[in-house]
Amino acid sequence: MTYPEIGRLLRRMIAINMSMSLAYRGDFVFFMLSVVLGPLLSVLIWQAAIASGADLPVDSTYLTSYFVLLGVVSMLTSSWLSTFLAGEIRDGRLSVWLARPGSYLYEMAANNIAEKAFKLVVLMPMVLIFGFWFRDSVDLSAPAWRWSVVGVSIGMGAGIAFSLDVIEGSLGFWLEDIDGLARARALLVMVLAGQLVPLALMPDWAQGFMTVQPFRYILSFPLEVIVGDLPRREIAMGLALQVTYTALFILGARWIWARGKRSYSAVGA
Amino acid sequence: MNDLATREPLDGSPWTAVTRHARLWRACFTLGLVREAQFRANAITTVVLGLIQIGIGLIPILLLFSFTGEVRGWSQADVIVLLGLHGAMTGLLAMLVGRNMWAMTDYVIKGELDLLLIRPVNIQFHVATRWIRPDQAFNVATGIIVAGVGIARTGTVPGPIEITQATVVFLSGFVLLACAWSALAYLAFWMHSVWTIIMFFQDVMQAGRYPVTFFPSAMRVLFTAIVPLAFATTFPAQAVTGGISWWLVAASVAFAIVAVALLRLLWNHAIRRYSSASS
Repeated sequence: MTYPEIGRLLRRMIAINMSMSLAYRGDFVFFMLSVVLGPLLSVLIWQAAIASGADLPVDSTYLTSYFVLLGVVSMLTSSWLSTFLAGEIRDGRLSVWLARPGSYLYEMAANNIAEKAFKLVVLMPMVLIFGFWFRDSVDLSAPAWRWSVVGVSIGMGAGIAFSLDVIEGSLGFWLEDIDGLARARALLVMVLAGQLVPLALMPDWAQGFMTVQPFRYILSFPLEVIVGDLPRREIAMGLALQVTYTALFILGARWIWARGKRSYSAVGA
Repeated sequence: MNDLATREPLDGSPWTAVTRHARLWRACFTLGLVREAQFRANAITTVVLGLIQIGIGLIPILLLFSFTGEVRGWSQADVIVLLGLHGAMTGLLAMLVGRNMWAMTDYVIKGELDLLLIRPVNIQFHVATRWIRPDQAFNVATGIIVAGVGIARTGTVPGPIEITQATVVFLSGFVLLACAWSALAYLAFWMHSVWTIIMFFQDVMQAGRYPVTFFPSAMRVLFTAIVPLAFATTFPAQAVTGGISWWLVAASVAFAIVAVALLRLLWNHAIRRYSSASS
């Protein structure tokens, strides 16, 4: 398929997925409440620690701003295709997609984009209420160029997360069940991406590793650009590393997907 | 035919009903063990994930208390006790209740409840206890071990009174959370699907990893009266690390009894709405 054809296909698939998402609008409200709940609890716990005299390496404004934005960024960079992809492979339903000109991954990408657009509409009012509640300790007054960097960085973070999901889901070509692996990976990413605790609060001995490991660039890095007031040099270095990781993960996903398809066999295939 | 003719009637004394339901629960438990033996890889995954989860739960606590000695009267060791009890509680709920609550939507929207309604047992009991996951016992044990480590770090040795208080409040907390979870699952009688609501409830339960005193007063009320996490983790942890008032112990038992009664009323109301989807 040519790129214009892929573009038209994606547009159509996104439209179909958006109309399908509407059928689950009630469910999305609870999904998004869950997205906001974790950061909200974290803010309250860390504020309790600060009120009890905890001497943190970052101030209350950093922490609160970080957690207020965390829900939005984690939703925008999230991906949920690995178990679906492994299921399609296991049950032989992938055969249908292999007979079509457009890849199953285009469908997954369209689903990802469509659901995120819908989720963003549901999520934003909740985040605004969250931010308003803690308005005295939230500071998002960064210059426009930093917000532009954040936009680009979130796009690349979503690319890393999506590619990682393709790699994980493609293991379904060789493994019968990847659910346990997916859940273990999700827990690991939660720590290394800065979802559980901001990476700035990690101990000094772990800071070097935390800065260069790839999961930081799914979530923590774009947040640090806004709330952490990173110097220009560190932003440039971070972006360079993020571009490298994005390219590596995309290439890895393409390679494992192509290898997997060659080894694919299923009833009806 | 002779056997059937000479069998005792099912509706005997209350004691007969209790023993019959106990036998039913035992049969479900045995079936759960057989199932786990068949899917060993799944059981091993549950164990590994349980260990990772409790390890990850420790990270924020270790970090938090690397910056301060105590938070609102709670030391690091106290919160580790609480985290262990939270792990034990979530393991116990997953073992005895969780899968049954996830199945409720299917029972209602697919009409599977039809086949349960014709069985000669208390349907509410059967629906709540049919699926048991013995592999989750490992997570209960891990939680208790973590709580034990926390107690050792506090430097106190709980006596029989503290252990009794903690056990009674913990079990009351289990009943309260199971009732809250069941009540949400019963919404399936009115709504198309309650899976996302149950998922949200499970996310709310994560707040039980921390003492309710860490939260503002409005949320303390929420986590005590609406989602009774305080009875499940905070109060048992306080009991085992220093003892609590007997009034609080009595109140936890009373709340559990009221919750069971209210859940029975809700079930009776919900079941009247049920119209089979399969016939």
